[in-house]
Amino acid sequence: MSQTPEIGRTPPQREPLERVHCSARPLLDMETLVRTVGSEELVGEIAALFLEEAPRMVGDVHEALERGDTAALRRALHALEGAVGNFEPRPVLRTIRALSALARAGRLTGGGAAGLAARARRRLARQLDRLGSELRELAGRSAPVGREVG
Amino acid sequence: MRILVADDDGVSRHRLASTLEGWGYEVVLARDGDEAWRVLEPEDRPPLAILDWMMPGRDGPALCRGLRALPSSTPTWVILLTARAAGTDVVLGLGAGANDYLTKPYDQAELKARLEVGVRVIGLQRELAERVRQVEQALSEVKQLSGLLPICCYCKRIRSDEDYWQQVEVYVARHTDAQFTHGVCPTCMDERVRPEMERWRRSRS
Repeated sequence: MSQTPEIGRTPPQREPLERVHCSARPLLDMETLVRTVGSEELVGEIAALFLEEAPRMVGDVHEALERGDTAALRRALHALEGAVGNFEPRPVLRTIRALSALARAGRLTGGGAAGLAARARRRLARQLDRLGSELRELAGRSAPVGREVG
Repeated sequence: MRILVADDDGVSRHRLASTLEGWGYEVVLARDGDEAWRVLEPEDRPPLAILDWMMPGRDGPALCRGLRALPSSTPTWVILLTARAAGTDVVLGLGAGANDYLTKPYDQAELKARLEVGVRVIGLQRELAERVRQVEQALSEVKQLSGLLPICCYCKRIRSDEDYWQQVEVYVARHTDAQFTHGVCPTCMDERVRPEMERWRRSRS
């Protein structure tokens, strides 16, 4: 298995800055998030949990991509989509769905398809870094998670 | 009211559990489909369940199919909560036996409203099940009187289950809500009461 990536702490040299089309707009809309989730405290709790669990989920995505295992990739992307979806960052969800569509169509390797998948993968990595940074800030605002889940 | 939350994603599980507990539900958590089935299969299963579609082990639709195959007078109200938003998925999910379908990302106000529909239906189902139980009990009592009753050819007493010979009116009163008032019919008046009174008058004179 490849090294598990850490969300929000990707070394800057991984992506050339000119390829990063990050707008100044944050991925998260706090007002909508608090309304849909219910409270700022709960948003902070699930942000902290996401930061704990996301590296494993992203690692599963990378591993499946490296193996070219489309079934495993679809499962890993579905899990990531479920977790990310709690925060409704639409650009990130769009990228995950685009990668899922490529996996569903079996278009991960060969010529143009490989290029598409690689671009989507890089875009996802950048977006997850930004999401991680924003969530780290949110998690810092709320009390630490003390509740056992599951 | 107890509610099962089955989702393999810890973030979604925690969000749902905290929200539902805040609304007063008693939450049971499952991390995969097989763990969810261990909660749903026994007779004391929760009346409400929120199931993710894709989970390790049994998936959401498989859990719905399994649940619908179980005998129950008050079946569990199931909401499939999933990122799969295609119309065909909704049809598949409802066809498998889910009562409702909600796509991720979801709004907590919408989830609350949909859960309240489930709670109302569960209340109606319980009420209906209680009425059916009462009707069945009443019918079983009526059946006792429509069965074969041993009756004496001469005195018309009826033999009870305890082997006592009881007068017809005592027996009927014990097995129904009917009560008796006593009188004399015209035939008995002519054939029994009048001849007896005549005999009594003659014996006096």
